[in-house]
Amino acid sequence: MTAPSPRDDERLTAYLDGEVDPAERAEVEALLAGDPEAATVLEELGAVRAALRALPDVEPPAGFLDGLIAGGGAEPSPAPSAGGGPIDELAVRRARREGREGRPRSRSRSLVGSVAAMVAMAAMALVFVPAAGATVPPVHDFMVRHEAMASGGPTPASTMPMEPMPMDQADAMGGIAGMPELDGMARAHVYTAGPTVHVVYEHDGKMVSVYRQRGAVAWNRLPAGGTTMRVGDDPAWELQDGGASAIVVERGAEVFTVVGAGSPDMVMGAAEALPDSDPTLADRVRRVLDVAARPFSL
Amino acid sequence: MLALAPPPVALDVIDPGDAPVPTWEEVARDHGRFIYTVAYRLTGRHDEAQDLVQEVLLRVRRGLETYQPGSLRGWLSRIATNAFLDEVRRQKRRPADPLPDDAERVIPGGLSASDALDAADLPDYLQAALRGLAEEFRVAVVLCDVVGMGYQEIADLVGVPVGTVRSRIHRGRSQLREALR
Repeated sequence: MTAPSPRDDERLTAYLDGEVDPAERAEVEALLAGDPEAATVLEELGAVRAALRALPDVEPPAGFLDGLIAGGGAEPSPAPSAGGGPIDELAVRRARREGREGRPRSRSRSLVGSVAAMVAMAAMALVFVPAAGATVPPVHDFMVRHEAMASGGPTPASTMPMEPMPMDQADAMGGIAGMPELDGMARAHVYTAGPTVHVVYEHDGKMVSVYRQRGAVAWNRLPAGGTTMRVGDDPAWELQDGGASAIVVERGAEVFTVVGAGSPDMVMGAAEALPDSDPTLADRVRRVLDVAARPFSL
Repeated sequence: MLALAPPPVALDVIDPGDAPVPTWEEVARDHGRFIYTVAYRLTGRHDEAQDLVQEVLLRVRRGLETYQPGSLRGWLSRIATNAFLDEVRRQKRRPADPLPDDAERVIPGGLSASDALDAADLPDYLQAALRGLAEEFRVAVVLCDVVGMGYQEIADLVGVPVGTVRSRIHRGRSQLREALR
């Protein structure tokens, strides 16, 4: 995996702003589909863009505009010291500042950061999210794949093709780094497909699958019938389908899908055992902006 | 798919055939806060923003006679940007000031980006980081993300190719991204 080129980076910014033509859009989307690092860059640039666009209006000092209006916007007199309306003072103030004898410099902070301002920021930020690069876990596909493995049958050809990886090789390559340790269960199999990792845990006939993908969840594109929830502090979503259940958890810049059959508690336990991750820039911006109980939108 | 955002500030488009030319007082009263916001985002200082607003309103007074009704906020943004860049050029012609008398220009000391974000001081921190950008990047980012202009509008206003605008916005946001890490 290589870092996106500077040219690619510029295209990501233009893509965020809707300033690409159809051909360039297709190129960017192809890049995002094949390069998780580009998706991360896009997400972080999108977070910066959202934060900028959520900056509140700035209140002028009390009386400032009224004073200008009362002064009438008269042209400055040739000799600023002759006095006049507030606009006449501009050259005087500038000259004073340059001469280091003007009024004390303002140290006032902008009137932002209040709870009301942050709520307004959050409300604005909700629409500024880059959904490009978002991840839609193929939940039903993952459930079918898990069910086939649990029953000892072949993996249906319709499911995502994944390559098995020997456990020792997975360990050596870090392929299972960041995957949870589950009480009483051992990792039995590891499969990969690009950046997607599938680890199968087994014990005494019970089996749980944990799938890991990169990105942020496109919550509104998950299958119908699920319910949103939280696992710890992280946004999550649960689907019960027959005797099987799946839980999707977004943690940091990764998306985990936990699948199991027979006991929803076992699946929830596996979800709760997911390892912590360092929050990304986008996560941290999201947490600041997301004060309006809209957990799944940045 | 990408959820494209609307401009953060709607640029009021007036039908040139119907809208009367506003008076200076109407511009100052109805759009003074908008001008001040743009001025503050460009300068990063309240005293400089006040100077810039005064300069803008002065130019508005001179220009209203020839103003053609259209996007008033676009027109005001153009005036504010030109006045800001004129001031930047004027400052650059002056001898360099060796004394660090501009505490608001630097990102707040002792406050890491992580702390700032956790403390919900993002607006102040972001403003400080914005002020740390080179003027050409800051202008492009402010016009795009504060005023809500498209790349072509910014290119027309600043007098550079669209590709340059794209590069400046990208480099500006990328530097902010690094500052927020």
